[in-house]
Amino acid sequence: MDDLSRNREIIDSVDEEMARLFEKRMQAGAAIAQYKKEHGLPVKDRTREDALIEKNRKRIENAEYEAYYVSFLKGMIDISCRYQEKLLSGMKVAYSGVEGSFAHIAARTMFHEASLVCKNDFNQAYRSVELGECDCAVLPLENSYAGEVNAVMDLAFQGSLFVNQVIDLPVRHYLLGIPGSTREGIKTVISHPQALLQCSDYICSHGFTAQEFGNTALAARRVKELGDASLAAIASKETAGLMGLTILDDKIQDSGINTTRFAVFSGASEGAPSSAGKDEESFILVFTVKNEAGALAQTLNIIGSHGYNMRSLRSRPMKELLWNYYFFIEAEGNINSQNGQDMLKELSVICARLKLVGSYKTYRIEDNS
Amino acid sequence: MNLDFKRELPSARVVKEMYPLSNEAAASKRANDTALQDIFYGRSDKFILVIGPCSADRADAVLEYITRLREVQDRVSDKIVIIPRIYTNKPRTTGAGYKGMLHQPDPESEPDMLKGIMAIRKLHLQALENTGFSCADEMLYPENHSYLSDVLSYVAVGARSVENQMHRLTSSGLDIPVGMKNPTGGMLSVMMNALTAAQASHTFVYSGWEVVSKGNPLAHAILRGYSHKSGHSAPNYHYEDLIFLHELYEESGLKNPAVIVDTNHSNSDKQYDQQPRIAKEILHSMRLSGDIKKLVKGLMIESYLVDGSQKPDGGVYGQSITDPCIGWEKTEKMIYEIADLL
Repeated sequence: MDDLSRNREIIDSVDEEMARLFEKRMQAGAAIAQYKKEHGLPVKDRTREDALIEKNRKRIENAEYEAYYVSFLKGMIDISCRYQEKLLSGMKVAYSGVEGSFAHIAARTMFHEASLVCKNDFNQAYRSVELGECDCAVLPLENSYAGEVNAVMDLAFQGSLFVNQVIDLPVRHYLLGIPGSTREGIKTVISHPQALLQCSDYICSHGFTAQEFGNTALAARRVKELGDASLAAIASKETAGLMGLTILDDKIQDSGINTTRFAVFSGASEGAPSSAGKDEESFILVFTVKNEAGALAQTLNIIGSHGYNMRSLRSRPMKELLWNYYFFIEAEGNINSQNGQDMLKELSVICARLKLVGSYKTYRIEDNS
Repeated sequence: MNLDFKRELPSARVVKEMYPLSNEAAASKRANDTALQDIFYGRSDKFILVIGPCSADRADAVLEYITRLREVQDRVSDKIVIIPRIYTNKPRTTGAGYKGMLHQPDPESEPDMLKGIMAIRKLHLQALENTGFSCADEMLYPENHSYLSDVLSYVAVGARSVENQMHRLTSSGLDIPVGMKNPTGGMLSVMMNALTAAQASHTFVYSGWEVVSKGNPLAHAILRGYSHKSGHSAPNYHYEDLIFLHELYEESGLKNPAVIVDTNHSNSDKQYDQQPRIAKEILHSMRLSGDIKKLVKGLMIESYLVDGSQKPDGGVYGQSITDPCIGWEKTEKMIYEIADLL
């Protein structure tokens, strides 16, 4: 046998083996897709991908092959993600808000293959997951536009869903007018009061009249409907595309970029630590304390003694009991560690009610403008 | 007062609820307590070894140590009852330095008492759940006993505390053996007075309550050597010392005369590797005198995984960061030798 035939035989047998391994890898990918569907997690996980490439490239002994191998691996990951997205295309994601609203943008960016289901309010979006109609719900945790974000906290306290993922969405305002209009011709701007407030310097310096509107996406729709070239809306770039409006100006807000935060609620708790580094992990706890002096302080002491940094502490009245409050805490650190489990054990004794709403890492949507 | 009231700590009842005892562990403790009671009441002539590190500085090393002790205990169970030392709070001569896990759950970090209380309960609980040993600790702060009362089988009152009223009264309210050490100056009458107090009933204030104790018939002596006024150490484990203690007991009318002899501290002048020799000498005295044999119920030995001691930031796993201890190999050998000589 000559060299050529011999080497072709080697390639044949390697390919045969790789075909079997490929199938095995795709099967694992399918199982992961199912898990991600149940837990409301996105297909793409940048941290995990980077770690995977970093770990595997070290396995290549011949340095000459390394760059080729990394490119091979990236291709493989890409194929796996596309397959997973196809599997998830039947996934239903509930949100509350009109098309073009920030909730919609967040949901679409996270689950771009899934079908998005718009609900009238947070409660309906949440219940649709509890009832099995949708796989997960994307609801605001901190968001000046969404109005009553407190309602989401109430759902987290009373409901049965978990948060395995939080999305940070940078909010950038644009001035949108009907096609053919110009910034110079604008006299009146309409938008959500918060958006108007955050662009007040811009509005003042251009001498616009500001009018408040229910939300930014509806304001854009209004501009489109009226077809008035002197009227502009302040809304997101995505809204311009959806409503068929023209961007007349960008970077119009007074300072920097605001971020709104959305939580993905799903029926399953992830439990095990995710692939994110320890520092990236955060968790949400809701609890009530016994009605006695120092009860809240005791709770916070315990959280502090376990070394978790509390990012926020909010209190909300309990609907069923007048003048009774529950507390909503977001803290940094991994709750699925021995330390975290010990803390929950200790808290469960001194809290009248205690619930771990979720542990998550934050997914930051890049500001691509 | 110039106290800064930093935070209110959870009560013993709450901490016990956070880290409760399993039924199995509770049964182990009951069995251990009974074995000790039988020895102190004279129903059993097994020999007690209260043995372990000078201070329980890190949970992993202490648990490994105690797990190893379990195997040894199972082999010598016909003659010896082992009570591991898990000493979670340490008296310091001037108050400076490492004060034990209670104060510093991480020896290299700032004191954190809330974390410390949880840490010491978890450690004692884990030892009991994993190995069936309900251990010994020092009663340094009498009120803290409540946090551990369901997991300890033995408590020692140190040489510096034995004259303290609160330690004596609290000892009178415990149902487990309390060993009361002779003071650092060596005056045995101080220790005998402590035993008299501990065996009697008292009314006093404990954890904000008016309480009545029943008296503790299991309170007994520990001889740990002493310091001369010149500063050097003098032993009190010799034949004559033990006979003298026997006579003191005879005159006192105390119940269940008993002594545990500490083989380290001033008895060894902290020459930790002399402990096996000292142990053998005591066993020898027991063979010579029936009174001594009846009186000496056991030994207290300072032992850990690695010989000697290091600074708190030394970083050697299983080596003492307080007084020097004998390492594991010597410990194992010593226990088997004691078993052979009994």
